[in-house]
Amino acid sequence: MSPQTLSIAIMDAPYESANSTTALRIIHSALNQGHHVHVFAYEGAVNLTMKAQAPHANAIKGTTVEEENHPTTKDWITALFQLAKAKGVTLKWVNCGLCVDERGAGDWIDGVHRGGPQDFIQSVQASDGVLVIPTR
Amino acid sequence: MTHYLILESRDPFDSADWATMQEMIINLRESGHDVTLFLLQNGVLIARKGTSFESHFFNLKALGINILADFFSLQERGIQNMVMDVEKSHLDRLIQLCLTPNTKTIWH
Repeated sequence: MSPQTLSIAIMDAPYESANSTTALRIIHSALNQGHHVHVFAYEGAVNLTMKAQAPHANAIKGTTVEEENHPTTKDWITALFQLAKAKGVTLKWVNCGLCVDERGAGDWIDGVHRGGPQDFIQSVQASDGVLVIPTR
Repeated sequence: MTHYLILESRDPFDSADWATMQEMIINLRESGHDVTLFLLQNGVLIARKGTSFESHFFNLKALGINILADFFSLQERGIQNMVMDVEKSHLDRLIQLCLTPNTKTIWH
C-alpha cells in the first residue's frame, strides 16, 4: 500500500483534555500504518512540544521522579518523530507562530517548525485526509 | 456522494449539542451520503448495553449508518457489554476510513 498523507490540526494544551491523547494516538496509528502526517498545532497545542517540560515526583503518593514516571507530551512527540523515521515516512509538525509568541513556547524539541495558517492550507491541499480537532 | 466520517467524542449527558449532531448525521444519510459514526472518548459511554440509547443506535443502523467504537476508550471506561448495533473498533480503522477517497471527517 503506497503511503497517503493525513493533515491534522490540533488546539488543546497538554494535560487539559483527552483530545491531546487521542490526537497523538491518531498520529501514531497513521505513522505506524506507513502514512505521512502533517500536524498544525495552534493555540494551546503549541505547548505540546516545549523542550522544558519535565516529569516530577509525587509527594502525596511518595514516589520519586523515576517511580512516578510521569509522561511528558514532548517525549511522546519525540517518539513519534522516531517512529516516522523508522517507517520511512514524514512527520511534519508546524507550530503556529503567533500562538507560540503569545505563550512563550518557542523553545521546542527537534523536528518542529514555526509556521502559520498558510502552512495548514498547503498541507490540506496536498493531503488525502484532513482532521481538525477543535477545543471546547 | 460523499462519505462522512463523524468522530463523536462527546456524550449526551455532558454535551448540549450532541442531539443536534445526531440529527445532522441522520440528515446526511437521508440525503444519500454514506455515513460512518465513530465513537471515541466519552462518546462511547452510551454504547454500553442497557442505556436508553439502544433504540437510537438501532435506528441509525437501520438507516445504513455504520457505528464503530474505539476499543481503547471502551476499555478505559470499563465497558464490556455493548449495544448490539455498535461494533468494537480501533484507531487503525479510523485512519483507514479517514483516508478513503471522497471522505470528509468531522470531529465533535
